[in-house]
Amino acid sequence: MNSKKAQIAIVAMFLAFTLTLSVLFFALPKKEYSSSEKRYLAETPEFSFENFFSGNLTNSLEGGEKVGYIADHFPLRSLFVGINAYWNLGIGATASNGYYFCRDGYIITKPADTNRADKNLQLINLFAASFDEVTLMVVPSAGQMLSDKLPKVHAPYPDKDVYDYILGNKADNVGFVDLRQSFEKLVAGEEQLYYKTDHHWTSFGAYTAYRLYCEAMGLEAKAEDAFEKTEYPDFFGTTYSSSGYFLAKPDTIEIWEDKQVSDNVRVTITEGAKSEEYASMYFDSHLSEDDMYPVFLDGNHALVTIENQNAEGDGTLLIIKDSFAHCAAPFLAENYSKVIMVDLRYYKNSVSELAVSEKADDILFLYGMNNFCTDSNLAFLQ
Amino acid sequence: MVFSSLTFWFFYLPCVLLIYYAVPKKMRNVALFVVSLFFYGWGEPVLVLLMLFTILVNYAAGLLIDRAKGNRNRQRLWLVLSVVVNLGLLVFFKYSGMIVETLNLLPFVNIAFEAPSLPIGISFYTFQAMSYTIDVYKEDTRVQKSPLILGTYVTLFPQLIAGPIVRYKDVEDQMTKRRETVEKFASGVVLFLCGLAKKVLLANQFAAMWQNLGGEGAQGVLARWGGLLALTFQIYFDFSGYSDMARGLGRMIGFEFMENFNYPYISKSITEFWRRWHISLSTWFRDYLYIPLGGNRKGFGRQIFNLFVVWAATGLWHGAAYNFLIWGLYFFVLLVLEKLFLSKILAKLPSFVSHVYALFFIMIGWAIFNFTDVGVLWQYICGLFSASDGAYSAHSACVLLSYLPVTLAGAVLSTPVLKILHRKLYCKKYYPLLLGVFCVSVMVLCTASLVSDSYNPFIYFRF
Repeated sequence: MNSKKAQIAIVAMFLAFTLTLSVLFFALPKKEYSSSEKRYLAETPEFSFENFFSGNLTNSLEGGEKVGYIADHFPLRSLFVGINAYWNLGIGATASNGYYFCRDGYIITKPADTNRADKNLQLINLFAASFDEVTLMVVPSAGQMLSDKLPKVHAPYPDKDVYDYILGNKADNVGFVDLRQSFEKLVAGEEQLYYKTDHHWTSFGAYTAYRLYCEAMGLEAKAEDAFEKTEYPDFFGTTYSSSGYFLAKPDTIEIWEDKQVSDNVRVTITEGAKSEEYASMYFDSHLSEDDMYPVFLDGNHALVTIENQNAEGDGTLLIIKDSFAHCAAPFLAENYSKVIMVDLRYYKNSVSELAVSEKADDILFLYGMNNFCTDSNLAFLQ
Repeated sequence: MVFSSLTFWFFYLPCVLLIYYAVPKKMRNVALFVVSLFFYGWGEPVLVLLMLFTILVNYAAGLLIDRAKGNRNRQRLWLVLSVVVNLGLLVFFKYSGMIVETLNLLPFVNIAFEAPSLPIGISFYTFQAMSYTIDVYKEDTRVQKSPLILGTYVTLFPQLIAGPIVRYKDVEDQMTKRRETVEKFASGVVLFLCGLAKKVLLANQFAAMWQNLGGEGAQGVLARWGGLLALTFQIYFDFSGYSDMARGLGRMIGFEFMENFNYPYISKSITEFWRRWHISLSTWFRDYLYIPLGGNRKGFGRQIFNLFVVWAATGLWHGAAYNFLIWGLYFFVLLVLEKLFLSKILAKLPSFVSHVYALFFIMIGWAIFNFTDVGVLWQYICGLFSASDGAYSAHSACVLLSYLPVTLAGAVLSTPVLKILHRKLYCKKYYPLLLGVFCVSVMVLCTASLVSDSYNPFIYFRF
């Protein structure tokens, strides 16, 4: 810094950068909810002496374990998160944000660090002991199925170990629907079974699983051409928003609708003591949001019931599931007059009592691989 | 509050600079004192009282020692009293848990005792405050009549919680007669950003690398060496980054603090390493413990004993656990061996060999430093030399590969390459532009990383 001018320029730059961002922080309106990150942002902490002297204020501003108020409401937050994501990508620290940046525009979740698949299977075995038969379906990791699209350096996916474990250790009355072979074949044929910007499977993926399930259960699956397919572009799903790769292109979400069913269906969503009824399985309002996947049955809820008068059979199916089931349930409603979905992350009553009181004919556990390995809520299964 | 946080950079710092430069020159120390107390109180405000007490004790001791001039015995009494209080507080807050735990190992002792939580930075500011009293006693510095100036010195926020351990006599003049210039401010900005980059862009990556490799549970020999390398780089870039930030912030308000790290990993011996690593701490121990004990002037046996005391203390200063004691004594043994004969042999060997020798023992040292559980430590060190679980697992190979570029960058930046390059570019016409680009990139990338809230640990909470 040989010249005075250069020195002044450095100082000015530093102060301008710092002050602009701090002033913007105070000036910009604060959002309560981030639709791209699908979570409520940190609330404004209370500025009081008491709060300061107890250390609470510091914690809520800086976050400690969670994201703090300041980081959550920082000006240009998503731009900065994106810059960080691309920087890490550039220096080779792949998946430091939890996602692989893959070929053909795929953003794929990295394998989970923990693996409690064994515990979860045992919980299912235990649950199955009080019923004649239950079925288990675990959706293969997108990363395993699309491994040729992953970057060369990536952590191994646990799929093979988990499937081997399930096949070797499941109770005799637990039926297992293995999706791997069909999925591999379809993927090899360049069919899209997983979204590029979301961690879920596509309607085609879910339909394939539905067909295999029917085969295993001796049901007749509805033919593909019975469904009217509608495409909605500009789908920015969860892997897009949480990875920060904001330059990635959006995907297209596809809804497969059987008009015969969808015109005669009654959907009941129960959350705690509150129940609401709807006349459709598709919640179009979500199609105007970045994340469109909740178009299927309005996303995560504790208990969702689909009643279909025009179903092929008159049985009742109980699905214990994560969000992968939302896109598959409309297909299953073809063959069951009543489909009940329970999400153990939110449903805290006894599931076996529910199965008895609803006279469930079939019980299906439907989980994505990642949740099957990490979800600790199956412990609430009783 | 830590420097590498959004709160500090975007809210605290602008306020401090605004207040500091808005008040008249005479008020600047008062302003610094107040904002520094706020800085320290952030998080655990009650601990400010403890620090104020430390200031008061040393202020009073300084005055009393000065007043007892000519009466060496009385001066010594005041000095001993102040040292006892200073160290007493340090021992109580930092070591009481360890001491009680050790006593409880005895069969007939069973003390129920809940150790107090460690006040952040207490080891740093206690040593700083003590340097003042001891120097007044040694007549190396003049007594400070103003409690405010002494208080400002002890609480000075840039070096408060992670060093460098600035000695009073080194900044005495600056406390009253420092000059704030644009040149200093600008070089302070650059230094602060260099330190921030070291911490946020390098150290945090190495912390993540260590974690991703599985930490103490890393699978495979290579993975364990990789983990240890990550730890080695993390500690260096974190600590030296923090010192750089402190010096940079100091310059922004007109201070000049000593350099604390001088490329320690290019050392060719452990002796050299400790001349380059955390310089302010080693010189503190040299001047206030080793030399008062007699240093090397009382025969070889006594010198070895003195070294033993100094390195046991150095080890324990870093944390109240036995591994830190082992860590200090480990260096004591190496340093004595070097003094006895190893240095002579190393001098004759090609420099490549002595580099490998030094790095090897430095890295093993960091393993000792890192594992508070001695059993885990032993297992990890054995694991470095046993391939019973293979060279690496699929997972660890992936992590090692993906952090290879960062590791290479860490290796290059541990040497003075950039400094040499900087000297060459300094006179070039495009230098200011280059510097500008560098600063903007660092600001954007560090903000991005802090906003993304990636792993951002503070590793000196034990010091």
